[in-house]
Amino acid sequence: MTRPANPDFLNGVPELLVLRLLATRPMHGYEVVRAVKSASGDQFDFGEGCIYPVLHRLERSGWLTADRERVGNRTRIVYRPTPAGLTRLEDATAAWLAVVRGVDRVLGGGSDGEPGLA
Amino acid sequence: MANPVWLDQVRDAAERLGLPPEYTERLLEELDDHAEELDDAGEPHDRLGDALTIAGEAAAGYRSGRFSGRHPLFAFVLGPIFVFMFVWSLYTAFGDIVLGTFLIVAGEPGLAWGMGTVAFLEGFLVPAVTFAAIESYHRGSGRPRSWFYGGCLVVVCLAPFLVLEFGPATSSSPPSVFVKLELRRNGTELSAQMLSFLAIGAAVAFRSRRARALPITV
Repeated sequence: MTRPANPDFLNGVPELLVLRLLATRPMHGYEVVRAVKSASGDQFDFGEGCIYPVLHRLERSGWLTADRERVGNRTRIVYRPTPAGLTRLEDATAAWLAVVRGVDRVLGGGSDGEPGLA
Repeated sequence: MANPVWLDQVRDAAERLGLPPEYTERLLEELDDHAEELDDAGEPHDRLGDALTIAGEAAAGYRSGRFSGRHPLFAFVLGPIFVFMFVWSLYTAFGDIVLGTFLIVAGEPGLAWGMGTVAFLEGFLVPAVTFAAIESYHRGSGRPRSWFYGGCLVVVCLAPFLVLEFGPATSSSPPSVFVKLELRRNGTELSAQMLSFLAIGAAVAFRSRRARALPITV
């Protein structure tokens, strides 16, 4: 019998956030960064240029599409989630919530009566 | 517009890490656009982050989507051996067709010409196609060029021990073409064949290096 792999903790979080935000509306890289900062209450501090490798990886995985669109006098690459991306978002969200529930139980005291860590 | 020195740092790091120029160009285009947005918002460009970190993240992401990027040892040490064997197999099939054609067109006297042609072309076609194939999948791997050179070296070391031979002809068919492994070759033959492969490998590498040095417009 194969054992399920350990869930990723922070590995995959940027992808989850990006997919979630792009599910609300198509955006280009700068807008995604602003949306991450705004929706998280500025909880994440990262080099904004690092968003592009994340977007490109999601695009290569078939979870996003990228289209050049003319906005004003600029041409921008705008990202949208694909149906596979939306399915991936559902799965990743469920996996993340399971991790959060597990961590909460440990921090708040397990069912075996041991005191919580926090 | 982003600081050109910073963009150059990203470009240089991306090239050093083995990212294809087309991908680097797109990354730079998006970073440049991001910098313009920061200008419009009156924010500093250093929000974009460290050039080496971005190039490193881009390389890691690019490699993760490709077998040759994820498993470079397999792709550039064992892979070239399989590619080389496959190319040899194709070449023997091609040789059989050439000999059959010479037999049909020129009769039995034409067979000597056919064998000469097959033996002559072998020295160019087999290494050129092998190195081009390795270069082609290296290009998509997102790995530094040293992996490509390593793969070529594997082929150069193996090449002298594989020898093209002709089987006996029958009354109705031309001699068959096959390749045999000959471990005990004399030093002159070994050196000559290694040098010939090395020269063709260097030519393919030079051509590929020029193609990868396409000017990036951003």
